[in-house]
Amino acid sequence: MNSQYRERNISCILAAEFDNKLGPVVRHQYPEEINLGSLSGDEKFPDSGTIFDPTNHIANLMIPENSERRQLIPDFIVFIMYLHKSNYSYRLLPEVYDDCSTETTECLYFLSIHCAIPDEQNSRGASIKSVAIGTTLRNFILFKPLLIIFLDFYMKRENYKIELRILKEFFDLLNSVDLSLVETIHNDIAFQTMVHSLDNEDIVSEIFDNQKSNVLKETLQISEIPKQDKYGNSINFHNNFISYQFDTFTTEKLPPIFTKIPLQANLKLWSGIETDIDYQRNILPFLLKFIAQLPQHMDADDSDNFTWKVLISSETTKDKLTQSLACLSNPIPTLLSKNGSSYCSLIKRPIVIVPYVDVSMLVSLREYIGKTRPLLLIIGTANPIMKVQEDLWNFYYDMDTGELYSSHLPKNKLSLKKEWKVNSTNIKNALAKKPYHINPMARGFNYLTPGYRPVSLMSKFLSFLKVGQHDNDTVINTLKRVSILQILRVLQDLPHGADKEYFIERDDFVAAYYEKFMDFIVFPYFLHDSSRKFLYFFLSLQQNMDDLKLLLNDPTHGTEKLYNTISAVYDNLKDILVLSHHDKKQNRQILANVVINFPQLSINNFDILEQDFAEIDLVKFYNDVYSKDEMRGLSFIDKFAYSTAFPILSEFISMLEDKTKSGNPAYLSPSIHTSRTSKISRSNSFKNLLSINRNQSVFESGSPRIPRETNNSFTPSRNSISAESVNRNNENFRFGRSPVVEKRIDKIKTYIFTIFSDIEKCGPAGSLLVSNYLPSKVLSQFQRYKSHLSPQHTSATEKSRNSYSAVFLGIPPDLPDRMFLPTSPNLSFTSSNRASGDENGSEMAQHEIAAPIKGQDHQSTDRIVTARPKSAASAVADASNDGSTFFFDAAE
Amino acid sequence: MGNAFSRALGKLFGSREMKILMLGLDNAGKTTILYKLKLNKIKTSTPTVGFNVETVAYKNVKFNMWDVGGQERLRPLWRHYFPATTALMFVIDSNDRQRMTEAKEELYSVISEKEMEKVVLLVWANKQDLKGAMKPQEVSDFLQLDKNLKNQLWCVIGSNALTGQGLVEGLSWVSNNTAKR
Ligand SMILES: Nc1nc2c(ncn2[C@@H]2O[C@H](COP(=O)(O)OP(=O)(O)OP(=O)(O)O)[C@@H](O)[C@H]2O)c(=O)[nH]1
Ligand SMILES: [Mg+2]
Repeated sequence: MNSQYRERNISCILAAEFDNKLGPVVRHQYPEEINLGSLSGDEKFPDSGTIFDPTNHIANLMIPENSERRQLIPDFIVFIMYLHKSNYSYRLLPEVYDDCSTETTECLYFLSIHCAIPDEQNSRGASIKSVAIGTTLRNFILFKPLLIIFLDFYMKRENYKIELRILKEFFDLLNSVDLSLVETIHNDIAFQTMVHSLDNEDIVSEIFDNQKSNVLKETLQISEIPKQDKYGNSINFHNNFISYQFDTFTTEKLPPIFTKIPLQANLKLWSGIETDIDYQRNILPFLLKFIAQLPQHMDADDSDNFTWKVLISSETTKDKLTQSLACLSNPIPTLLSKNGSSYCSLIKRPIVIVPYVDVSMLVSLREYIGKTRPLLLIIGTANPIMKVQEDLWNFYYDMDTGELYSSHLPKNKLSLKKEWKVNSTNIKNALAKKPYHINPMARGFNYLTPGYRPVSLMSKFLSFLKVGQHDNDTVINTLKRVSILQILRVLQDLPHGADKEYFIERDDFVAAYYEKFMDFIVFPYFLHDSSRKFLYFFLSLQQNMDDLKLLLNDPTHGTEKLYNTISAVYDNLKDILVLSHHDKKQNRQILANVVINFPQLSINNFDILEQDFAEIDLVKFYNDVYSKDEMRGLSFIDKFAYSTAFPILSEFISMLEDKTKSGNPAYLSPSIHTSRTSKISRSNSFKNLLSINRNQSVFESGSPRIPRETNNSFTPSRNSISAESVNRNNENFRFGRSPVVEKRIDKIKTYIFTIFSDIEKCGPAGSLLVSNYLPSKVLSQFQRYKSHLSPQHTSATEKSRNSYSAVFLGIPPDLPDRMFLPTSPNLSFTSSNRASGDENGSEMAQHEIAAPIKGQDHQSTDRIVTARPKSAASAVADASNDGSTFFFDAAE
Repeated sequence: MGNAFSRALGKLFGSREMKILMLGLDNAGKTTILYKLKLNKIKTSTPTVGFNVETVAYKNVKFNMWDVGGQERLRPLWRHYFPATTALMFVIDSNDRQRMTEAKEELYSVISEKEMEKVVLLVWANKQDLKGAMKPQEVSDFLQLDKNLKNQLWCVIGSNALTGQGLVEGLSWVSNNTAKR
């Protein structure tokens, strides 16, 4: 494709119709240069110009099966054509390179509209016509309204030349606005991951409110939000939508109404396509049944050759069918989704979704399967004859009835666990033991494979999402968090501890992940090396914090044990910081995304790899975990989506506040809240800490945390402990009186603040995250801390390398107030580590020092934690480092 | 499960299910026949894009009838509908003498396929109401089925899809000439 077309909103426009003698034919293609397979080069009808090509499928897609039934009611169909680099033409099935290489799959999305109208001129009494646009934009559905009125207008033209003229005019109209701004935001995966992960609508609306925040400006690297696009069309922002007026286009053949309908684009977009269908009704029922039938663990032996083939059929609208298929690429990374092709290269086998296949494509489809051996192939169809093509599916799902059929699975594929072997007595026992009727997913497994199937956590959540009302974001976010739990579970199995080599190659990790959790649902962003490391550090931090709390509650602990645990926390934080300061721009974004997505770990009471969740009452489970305070009003799904990384970090700060202000009972009041005006308060875990070193145990035991039915310690009366009692317990309240421990604790605090400030600097939305997610007390401490690092304090020292490392760690070299660092006069990281005999610490310092910056003022300023809001210019400079392209393609 | 049960019941009471494939050139009247049988109505006819499928019950037999569009470009796709077919109903516009040869060629290319070896063949000489229409016997002679089909059961029946004449006879013949499996 020429670059001139790539810059256009739509790359080409096609018109097709049903010819009474021939069947479906493509009548026009504009511009003709784009090579849509053999379509363009073939013989044409000399006079009409009708493009004749018997091998071409596009005509069959544009005038799809049963389209004659759409009398006066148009229907849409979505299909995708992939660029084949070998001959620079577009095909319906993606080219797969030998090594499944990471080359990004380029494709054109086609949105096609068709309709039949009664036509007395026509010998068969009706004519069926169709218009399709091809675009690289993943939010192509924004053209729907215009396509509807265009088809109506187009249908009434009969003259070949006039048809072509209005097609061209329509093409020019759609290209007369500049949507590049929308595309830039859509392609910023870190940003999109973030806005989709935020459970707080207030933050999201603030992000998209250009009066209140500079997030969009900074993301787009512009100083002013424009009122016009680059061609002079007026644009308007409203929430996360932007609308374009066709101000500059003058119609000739088209009626003026065409320029009166604005284009409305949603700035939020997942990794797949934008859709107007409802996931809950259209996608979840399939995922639920399908995943319940997959073996829980993949048999590594067959993983090389076996292709999971899934046919999804629906005889309702093609619009619903094809959009459902296309947006399956959100939870299931395919060659379609952003990063999907690189992801497929990780698993070394492609995952392909073909939104629509009719019988005309069967031959090429068979050939394709044989040649490319995809791991998973999902095909949409409206023709029940496909059910007879038994070699094309292992699973056949009827969207209209919700029935799933399976066939042709090698026996070993479906025998999950040895004890559930297909054998009547075993089945009977299994059923007696676990009455399957209580499991919604088990219904209908009669005509599927016999034998009881344990219910995985993913399946369990799918069944929860199916009931109630959940919007698309909630559905995807929940699946994302389950998948993160699964990633954490795989990480847990890796050797760790002193050994720093605990990060196996990403390929191996992905293989391990698939072997353990065979559900195809995964979000590639969180498989990134840095994501996995951050996830692992937070997992370990959570566990160490739990241990710490246990120790603090136990008066008999020895100082050494306490010191070791505190050191472990310290190490975790240091690991996080080292990573965050390596390849800063990218890793800070990942850090922020990991933090806002880090799931509640109490589910780890179960081994999510082995546990059968069929009979586990997760609603009750999560109700117990969040039995207190403001979380009560939230639905189970919302509770599950609650991220715990900010609380983990904040609770340590709260503990310190307790310490430094002991005697002041204010911090013990139950009203320690976040400053968020949101629906969810983040205060829960603080409450746990409020009772540190009370005599009665309030910590729900260590790691993994076990939720209690009721926990008396959290009743308000217990919480409002008097100043007197605090003072009385003041001795115990210390983390131990060792100055070494004290010193370490202060370091930890500094690290945590540095992490906060890294998150603030993760991108334009960073400071919003920190200010909204931190509890107000912690936030004000953090702000006080930052104010000590005002430019006056740092500018004098920042040019020196040594102090740079101190600055990098967020430790002000000349901190006037000893509150944070009472026992640590030696402020540089390296020396403080030496003081505590910590070898690992210097490794980090060396790392930073080894890549120092030379007098480049804005960069070093950027690295210094300051209270001053970052200037737009420096944010832009920051943003330009890694831009929007991301991830698997990034060299590591 | 439900399926197996009703099949067992069906055996008891002699009901059967079979897949019927209806083919023929475009405009022959396939869709008109299908909906006359199914709904006893004439649906406004537009060319069939792809297929129609309906279940028509007649005397304890459930005919799963597939009607596939007959335009030139759609004919190569017919073969995808072959698997598991019990009977082929080939519809001919008896009034379209010009395309009789074309129809004959298409019919033979279908029944000479390996997958269609065992099907019973019913030819509907449709549009008998039209003045210039070839009579069923003429159509039969023209097709030379007796000469060419040695191992297959076949039959040519005249029909008028608009009134329904001949349609029930066709179903009845198919029902009587397919093995009670
Ligand atoms: N006079 C007369 N017209 C008929 C008869 N059967 C069908 N027709 C007409 O023939 C035309 C074509 O009929 P269809 O049933 O649509 O033909 P078809 O075989 O389904 O054609 P395709 O779907 O294009 O393959 C329609 O206008 C029908 O009304 C008949 O027995 N007599
Ligand atoms: Mg028809």
